[in-house]
Amino acid sequence: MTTRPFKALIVDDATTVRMYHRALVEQQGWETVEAENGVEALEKALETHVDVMFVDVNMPVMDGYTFIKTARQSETLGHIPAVMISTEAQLVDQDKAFAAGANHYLIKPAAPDDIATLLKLLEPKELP
Amino acid sequence: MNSLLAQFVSECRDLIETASRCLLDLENDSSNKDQIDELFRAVHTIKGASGLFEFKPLTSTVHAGEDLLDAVRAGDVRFNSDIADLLLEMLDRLVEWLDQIDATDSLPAGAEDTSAELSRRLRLQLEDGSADEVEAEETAEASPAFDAWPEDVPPLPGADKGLTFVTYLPSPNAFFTGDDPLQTVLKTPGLMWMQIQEPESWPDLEALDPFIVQIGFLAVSDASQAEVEEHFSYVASEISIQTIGLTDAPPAEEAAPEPDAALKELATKLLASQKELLASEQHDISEHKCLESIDQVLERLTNALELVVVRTKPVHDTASLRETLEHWIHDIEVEMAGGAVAVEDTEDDEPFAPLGEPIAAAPEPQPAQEDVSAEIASPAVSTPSPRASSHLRVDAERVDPLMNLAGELIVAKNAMPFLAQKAEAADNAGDLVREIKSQHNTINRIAEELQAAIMQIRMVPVGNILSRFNRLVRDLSRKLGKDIQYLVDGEDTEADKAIVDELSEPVVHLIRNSIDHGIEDPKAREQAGKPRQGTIRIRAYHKEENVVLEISDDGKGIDVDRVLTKAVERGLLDQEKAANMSRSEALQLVFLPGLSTKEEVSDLSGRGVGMDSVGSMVRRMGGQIGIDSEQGFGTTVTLSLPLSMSVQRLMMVEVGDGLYSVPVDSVVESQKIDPAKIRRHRNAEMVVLRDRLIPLVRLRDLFECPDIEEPQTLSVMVVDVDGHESGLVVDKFHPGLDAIVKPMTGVLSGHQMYAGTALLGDGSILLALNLREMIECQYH
Repeated sequence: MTTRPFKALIVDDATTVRMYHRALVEQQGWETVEAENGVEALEKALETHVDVMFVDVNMPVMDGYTFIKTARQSETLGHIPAVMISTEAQLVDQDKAFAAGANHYLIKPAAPDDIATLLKLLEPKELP
Repeated sequence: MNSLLAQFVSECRDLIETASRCLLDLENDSSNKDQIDELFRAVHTIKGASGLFEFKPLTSTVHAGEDLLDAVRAGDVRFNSDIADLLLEMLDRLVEWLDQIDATDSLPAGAEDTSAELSRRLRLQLEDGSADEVEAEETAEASPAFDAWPEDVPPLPGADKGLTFVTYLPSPNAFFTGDDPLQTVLKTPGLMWMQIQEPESWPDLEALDPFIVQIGFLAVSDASQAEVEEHFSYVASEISIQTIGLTDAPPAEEAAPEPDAALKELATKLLASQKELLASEQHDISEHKCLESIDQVLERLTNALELVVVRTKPVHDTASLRETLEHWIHDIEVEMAGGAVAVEDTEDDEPFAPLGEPIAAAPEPQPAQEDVSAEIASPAVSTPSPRASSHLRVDAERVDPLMNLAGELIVAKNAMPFLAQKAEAADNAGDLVREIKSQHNTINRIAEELQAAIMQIRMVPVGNILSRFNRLVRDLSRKLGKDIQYLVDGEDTEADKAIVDELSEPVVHLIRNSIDHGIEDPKAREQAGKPRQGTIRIRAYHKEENVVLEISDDGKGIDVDRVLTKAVERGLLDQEKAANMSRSEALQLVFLPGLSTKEEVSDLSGRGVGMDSVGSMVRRMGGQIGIDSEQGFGTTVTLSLPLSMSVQRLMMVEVGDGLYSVPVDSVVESQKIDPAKIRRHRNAEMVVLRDRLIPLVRLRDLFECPDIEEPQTLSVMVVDVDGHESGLVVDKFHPGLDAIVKPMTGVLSGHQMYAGTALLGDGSILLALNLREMIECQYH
């Protein structure tokens, strides 16, 4: 089976957090694309194929909920698994994340092992 | 320091800058929602990023600040200057901590205490002034918790190994500040026992506000104290933690779960999330796309776990896709639990079938995604306009070498004429000479373009530093009980980074002067018929090749007569001269060393840093300073600085054995004069050039060169310094050249006679003369 490097989109307005997640994701042999807010994330996701999206909640310009909602309307992005990563460990936020169409919810900072395992679980099976 | 930490520090600094700016703006207009949002986001981002590191005091302090801002944002707490003060204090503390992190990778000792104290005060603002409540909470918190085994806690297994006991008294506003106390407690790692602590008395039912947290929690966990602390790190100021039982036993290291187990555990969670997503009510999003994403997750998950559960039938409509997914999730759950896949629950056309082999060997290809989506009319994605980044951040350290390179290129270029000369002397190879000369032109052009390009990178708006003084004005004026607004015009005016950086020091002194000596207190201002609020205004603009800063205040201005009296008293000028001095000339006296019209030294403008040192700072940067003031109406100081400290056109002269240079801009003319024409008046020598009387400065004497026989003609270079002409008597004139004059460093930096050094094409060093100092030296 051909193994193409998989690609994760990392959306967060904090450069430090992006860097951290990027390092964790790249350790698993994945490639990464980064975006600072929802709008930029949509642009990035539309111009390059991504396999998983890690999305922060609170961002300027367009927040994480809106981004996932918008992506879920899209012909090309709609089916891509999205994981929300947020500092708010509240049930109400989780519900909002699912209502927006997120597939999973992690609390920031995500543990390295969690990211590694999650990526193993979310590895795409074959070339799309 | 690792790069992640370095990134964190630098990002935090930017965010702190943003937050400070918002805070100061909010003080003027506390209703500005955008500013509050921006401020909140900056603080929120710092908190989020700090969670990546082991800086608990920092995280919990910022968390307290974030909670406060969240309440402000929600309108629960009214923004006021106390809150601003507190938040500014928090930002100051953060800067201190970041400095320490920068230096040692860790927080300073005592950060915990500082953090606890600051967090407490931040949370106090949240309490809406109900001091009793706060006090009650404090006593509860401060009470020494328990000895070896707390009363309320029943015997628990593992007590001999030591357990972690937590007392958690959530802030009454916890629900509004993003905390869910019960949830937090229930999620404590290794939670063994938990009890709710009721308040001493409950209010009447009518008076009970269900949105105020009134209860506390006691909890025991078998996780280590560090782990529990970590779990509660966002509410660190609201908990107390201790190890109970056998305290001297080291906390048991929890064995890392088997990798396989970890995979399974997370898979279970992920599956639960898919169920949640499936069950959640979605609005204004495409249900079908959501289902497709679940489909994706399940497919990948089964693959990763090598489960033999697969959906084989392509599904087209949303309703049956949903049903299929529900079944699929169920089957995965069963499979993961080690059971066989239930076949019989597929009542209808069995949409999926158990397979004897892993997915890779599935006989049928997976449904093509296009088939499914083609039927769904998907609304067009609104493509937002791209947000172009308006500026490029360049690390100064990366640009500086470029600047040096450009300088070297220019120096290399200077070698060409030497070469040409040599070639000419060797044999009359005119072609060679022409070639070298044309090459020289080329290098020259490249060098100039390169330099111009680099200069552009180095250009930064002066607003970068001017905006920082907002805080200075605010703090100082409060301290002095004055009311002062700070205005900046032309903050976009650009100048070389080195100039902008250097600017900050003189400008700070001028602002301090204005606040301290210039602007009167509100009462005095009212009596003088002026508005209570004073104004300090900085105007920045370009004028020719200079950047000009005007720092003006509408304070009491300068008493020119007093300046003159002082100057005479101090022996800086004689009575007669003082009497004939024009107003504007007299004002410039304030730049003389040792003349300060303010008698007592205030702790604000500081001892010894007066206008004279501001003047010399500015002149050292190659700039000029001027002052204008009208008594009773204010003072304006004008700084005029070069746009960059860069390549200068120099004139070279020879004196004794040395080569010296002066900037071409200050050279008026070069003359050969007959020594007989020199007139002597007292000890000074002068010469009449056309209709002007030019004082002469003999550089040989000034440099203490050995005496030589007076030549037939004297070489005199007439220079203009601040509008006054002087004639420098030199041994010989040399051609001009372009060079970068670098200020002297180290032990040589004290030599005021020299402005700096420049490297010549043949590698020798040229001393650049500081004409102003030199001529003053001659006269004093």
